[in-house]
Amino acid sequence: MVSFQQGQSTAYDTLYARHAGAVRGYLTRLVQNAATAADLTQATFLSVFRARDRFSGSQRFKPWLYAIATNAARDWRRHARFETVSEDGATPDGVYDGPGPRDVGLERQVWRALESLPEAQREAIVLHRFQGLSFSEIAELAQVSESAVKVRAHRGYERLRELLAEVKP
Amino acid sequence: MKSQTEVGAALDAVLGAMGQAAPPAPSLAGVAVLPSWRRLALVLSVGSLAVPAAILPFVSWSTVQHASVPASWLVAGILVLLAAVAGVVAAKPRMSVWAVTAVMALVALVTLANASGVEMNRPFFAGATCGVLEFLYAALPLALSFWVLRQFAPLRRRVLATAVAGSSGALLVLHLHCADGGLAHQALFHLVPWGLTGVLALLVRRLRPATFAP
Repeated sequence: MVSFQQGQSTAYDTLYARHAGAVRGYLTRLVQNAATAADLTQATFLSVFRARDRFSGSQRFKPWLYAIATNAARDWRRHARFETVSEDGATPDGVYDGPGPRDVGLERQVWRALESLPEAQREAIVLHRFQGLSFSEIAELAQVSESAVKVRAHRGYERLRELLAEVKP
Repeated sequence: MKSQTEVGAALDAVLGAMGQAAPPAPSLAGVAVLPSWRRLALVLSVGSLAVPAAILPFVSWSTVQHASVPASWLVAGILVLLAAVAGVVAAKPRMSVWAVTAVMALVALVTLANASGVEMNRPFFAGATCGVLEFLYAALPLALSFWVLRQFAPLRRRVLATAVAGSSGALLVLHLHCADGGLAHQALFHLVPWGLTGVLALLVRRLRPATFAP
């Protein structure tokens, strides 16, 4: 990122190649729509490009990048009706990329359970479990204390335990 | 009830199976870099201070609003400082919500603690003129504030800080112009409209931002 700030145009391509896939995965998990996630990924990296002067060398890049992606997802949620879970509650086409056959019933319950969590709890769980961010990195991006992030994740898991009590993966 | 491991397995089965192929990179042709936050802070501060600079030479000044002349000037000094610093607090990328709250609380506390209690001989709600004037005086810097806000991700604390920064110059004008030292008048027609600009700004937060960067 510092190289990119210093004017190396190839540094941006490197950043994109290194992080765009993971950011898209994160956004897909948040907005539950592959096409929207792709658009938001592009919006995230456009924001990185436009706001590069605001990145401080003392910051870590990953929390900054995921903060931008999180803001993009939140903004999308504010403006768009949540319409990605179909009538029967299954995940829309284009999201699933697993090795085995899809378990639509499980998907439905997991998505609904996740959807019912407050967004801060959902983000903490997804960032920690699937994006591999540490609690301190999540705290940095959310601008809260590390213990607050742990509490969010813990409460999110507790709520998921209740909501997924009947599910057999 | 499921164990945490079982919940994790259910999450992994669904969320872990998602593709992570990168979409095509966005075209950067013609995409401009945003102004630095320091420049935006300057816009906010100058916009807010321009209001008292433009209006105060043309209105009468009163010093009976507060218990003593030094108290009045102390509050005026704090408001000038607020108008100058609030822009920085609002535009700084890693802003602290506590800094915003502390600045707002300080202004309210100092203003109310130093109210003289000398009320004007008029019906209480005639004082609503002050609130209306405050909104009018704040209109231009608030418009600037909304432009500045579009240069950031629309976080609640930033929206509040930016709007309050924009209207603090108008608060300063009222402080030096208004001759009503009543505590209720100060609270209801000076401080409440000032805070209300922040609340109104939160409603305008739905404007599409030019960036999602904090």
